[in-house]
Amino acid sequence: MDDYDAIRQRVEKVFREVFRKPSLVLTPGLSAAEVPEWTSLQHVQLIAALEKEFALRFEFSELVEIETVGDIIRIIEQKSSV
Amino acid sequence: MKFREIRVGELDDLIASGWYRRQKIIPITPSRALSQAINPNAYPNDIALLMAVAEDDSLAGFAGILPARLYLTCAEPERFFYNSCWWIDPGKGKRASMPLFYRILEITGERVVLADMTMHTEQIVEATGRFRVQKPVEGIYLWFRGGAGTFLSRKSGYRPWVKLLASPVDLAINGMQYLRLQGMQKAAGSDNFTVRPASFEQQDVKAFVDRMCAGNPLTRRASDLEWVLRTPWLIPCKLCKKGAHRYPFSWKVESFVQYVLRIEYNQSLAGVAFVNFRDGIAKVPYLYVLPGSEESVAQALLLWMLRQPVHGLFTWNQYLLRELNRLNLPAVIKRKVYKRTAYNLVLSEVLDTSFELQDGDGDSVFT
Repeated sequence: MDDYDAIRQRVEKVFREVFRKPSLVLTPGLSAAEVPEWTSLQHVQLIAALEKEFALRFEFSELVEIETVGDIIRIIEQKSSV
Repeated sequence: MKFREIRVGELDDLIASGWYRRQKIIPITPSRALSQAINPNAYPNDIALLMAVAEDDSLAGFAGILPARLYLTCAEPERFFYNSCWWIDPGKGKRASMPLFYRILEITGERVVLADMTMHTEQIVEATGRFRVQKPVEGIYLWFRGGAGTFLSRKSGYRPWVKLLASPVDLAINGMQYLRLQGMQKAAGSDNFTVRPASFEQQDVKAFVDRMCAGNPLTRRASDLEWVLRTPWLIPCKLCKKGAHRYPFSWKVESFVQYVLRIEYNQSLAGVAFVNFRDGIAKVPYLYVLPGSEESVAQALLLWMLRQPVHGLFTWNQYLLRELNRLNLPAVIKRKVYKRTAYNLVLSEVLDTSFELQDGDGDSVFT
């Protein structure tokens, strides 16, 4: 399993916990517009949970870029490789 | 979407700009901008306003930062920041909400105090895991006189006949209330405390304020209050025309008056109150009291208020609340209100968990 897949699996686990949807399957193109539960409050919870899971802090410039699940995985991948 | 940051020294340029004039919803009012430009706790390079601007150049969201000072014993005051506003356009601003909030945390080094949050903001703030959320403080909003006619006439969609109908009801209520309040005042008696208007030009008032807030790290000092008095954020304008601009927070009101009051016992200062009357409702942003005189000062202030042209009071001040209970002040309407506060975990290293905010902390003192 490469880094991308490993990160995707952990991101998926966080999504399932935050949105309380055990069967949620993430695709890179999935965005807030397609998940009704992905409100601004859930978005904060998601960011906080991802920060905890990956022991990192998102920066303003990164948060601005996030539109889809793929963006989240890419940013985490970049941060993890530094 | 673009994000713009406006520094304290750039606020006057912003409100004079063509972009500002073109906006339907503005990110800051001229009175707030002018006030924040001379904030004694700010530097010209401090960022005061963050804006999210949509592709069509209109405002998609904004958030404000109000620098303040934390007075710790035996040390120079440290800096911290109040979040003065956070607004998101429901359509265009969805993606702006979190970046704006996280940017505030970045800019301030996570030294933010949120002095009055909605329940929704409280949930968001708690979810970040970066704040200590305080237990909500219970306060009171009460009317000791009837004012339904005036109140209803301010509501949108108001019909003049509503005021006509409400006025006789108010009159009847106020007749009864007059007798009940007279009875209460007689029962309360007088313990020779006097209340009269003062000014911060009186050195003893200034010195008293600074002396009485020693040990309370957030409470505003006299220099701050002089600034607040000079630059209120509300514009009293009874006959204001509906302008081209809209601002999502308090701006234009029917009436707004600020008072500094000296409360004396035997001609010696026992309390100083910073009070304002906004559209017939009294608020007490700051009350500085000589230890041991809390009860008498609160009583004197409440009895003074009853003689003023206001019909109610909005407060979380613990001395006033205790005194309201003790006097059993007869109310026309009474309802509990809650103040939700939080501060960054970084500040929890220097702030005691039991510290008390006064009603005016945050930006409430201006409104």
